[in-house]
Amino acid sequence: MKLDDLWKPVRIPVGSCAQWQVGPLEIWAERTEKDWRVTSRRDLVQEDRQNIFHEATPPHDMEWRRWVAEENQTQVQLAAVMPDRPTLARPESPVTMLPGQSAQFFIGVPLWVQLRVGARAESMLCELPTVVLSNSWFGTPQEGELCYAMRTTAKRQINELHLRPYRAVCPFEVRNASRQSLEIQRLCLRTQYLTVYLGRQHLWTNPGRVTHRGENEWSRAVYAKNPPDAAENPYPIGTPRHPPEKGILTRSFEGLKAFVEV
Amino acid sequence: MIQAVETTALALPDLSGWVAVHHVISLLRVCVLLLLGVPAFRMLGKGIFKLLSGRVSDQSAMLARKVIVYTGTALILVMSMRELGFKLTTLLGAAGLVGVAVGFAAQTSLSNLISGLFLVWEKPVQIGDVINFGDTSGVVHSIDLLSIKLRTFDNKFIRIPNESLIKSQFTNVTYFPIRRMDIDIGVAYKEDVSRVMDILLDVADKNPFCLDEPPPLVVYKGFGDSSLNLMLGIWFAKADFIKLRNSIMLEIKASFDKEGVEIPFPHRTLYAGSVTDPFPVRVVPPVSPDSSSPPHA
Repeated sequence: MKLDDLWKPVRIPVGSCAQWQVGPLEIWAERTEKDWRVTSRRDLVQEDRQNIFHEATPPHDMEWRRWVAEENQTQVQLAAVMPDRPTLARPESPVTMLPGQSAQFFIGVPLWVQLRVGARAESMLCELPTVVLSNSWFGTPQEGELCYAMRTTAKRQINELHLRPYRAVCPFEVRNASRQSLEIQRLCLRTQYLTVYLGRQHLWTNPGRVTHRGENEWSRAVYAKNPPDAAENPYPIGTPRHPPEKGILTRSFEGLKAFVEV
Repeated sequence: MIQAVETTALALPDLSGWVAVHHVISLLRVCVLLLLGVPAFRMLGKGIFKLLSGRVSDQSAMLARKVIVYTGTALILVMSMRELGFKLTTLLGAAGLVGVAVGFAAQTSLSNLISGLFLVWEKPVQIGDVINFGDTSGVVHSIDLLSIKLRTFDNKFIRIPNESLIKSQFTNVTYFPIRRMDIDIGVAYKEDVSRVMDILLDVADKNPFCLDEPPPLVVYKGFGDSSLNLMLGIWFAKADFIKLRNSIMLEIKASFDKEGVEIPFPHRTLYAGSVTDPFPVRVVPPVSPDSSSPPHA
């Protein structure tokens, strides 16, 4: 199967059902006379699947959700988006950057999949994470931001990443513009500004760059509007949740000490 | 004499009709004032509330609305009384005297009022927060000048005077965005405690509602009567309390069952030392399965 078949529009006539497999996530969409019916499940062992079956048998032992379908509406398309909250990644081990240094990281971010209907995929039926990420907190117990935690780590080389069909590679550059050394324990990726692109071999996102100015200073994060140069013939297979802004002043690093009291 | 009186009466203009008309006009004006003025101030209050919602805290927006509505209504009442012919200076003088009397009578209300202002200023609670006050727990429904209204989890309405809140200790459960849930767990004395700790941390790690940062912790609390006592402390976003509570309990039980970790019942050991008589023991023959089955017909 070609890499882009998964993300192409599909026609599902009345009474038919299609099935998609995107890594651990399996989705079935059935077009009945009046409704769209959708169900899904995850098999975390199956990480390398990327299939589409145009004529699938709808499973019966699962919970289905229904949407009222417009007449003559038979076209369905998957769109890839990034998680709906910022996502935290750790380097394999804490990395220290000296003043003035910059470093490139590669992070494999798991996708969320939107099921869209209509001639131009204008209506979204539902949105499903390919894997359910654990919650995490970026900040102090008094103030901070609810995020997702990734189990995979940020790598310095792209070939160190396990490239999976349900993960998009986000190239992320960190610059230490402060006068002190910067020890990176966790990186907060503002995934809401990222677009997913389909490259020749795998999925990419637009690259990001964050500049650290000092311990008590806000960091400036910049997300590019274009795919990375390393992606060959990339084209977008989804839209970002928020359009990239020119420069986002944000906290992107952390040296958090949890307060433990028993 | 009678004739003279009649002549004088005829000479004066008949004002009774004019006075009646004047009163009717005043009454009409008062009605218009009340019918238009009071709703107008209510609408103004609503408008200000909408304008401020999202920009300031909910209780500040609600307070601004109430100040506008009550001040406006008081203004309309004063204007209506003036229209009806009451002299305001006399009224204010009387109000001063009445105020002293009411002040003595309404000490509690005034105390609540001032406490309410402190609550709004200090902001220990916000609308939507969950608070524990004595035996009462509930979601803050409104913060008014005299009292705080709570909606309990079983949908009862509770009014707590502001003075009581200011004077006593209460807990705002949802003040901070994340919380820690402490779960006490006892395991049998035969278990390897470090292995049990690893199992608990693994359960916390796999639960999506449990925050990975701040990290979960397991504390060995001591030796209980029947069990080794541990505590699992897991952090969570305040909205996930029920989801985490239900899922983590099931997962701990399932993991313990899978790993063969025993959650003990209370044990009691009866001592029969030299100072007590030995326990009486009766030896019974073993019962075979055949003998216990009912006889065939």
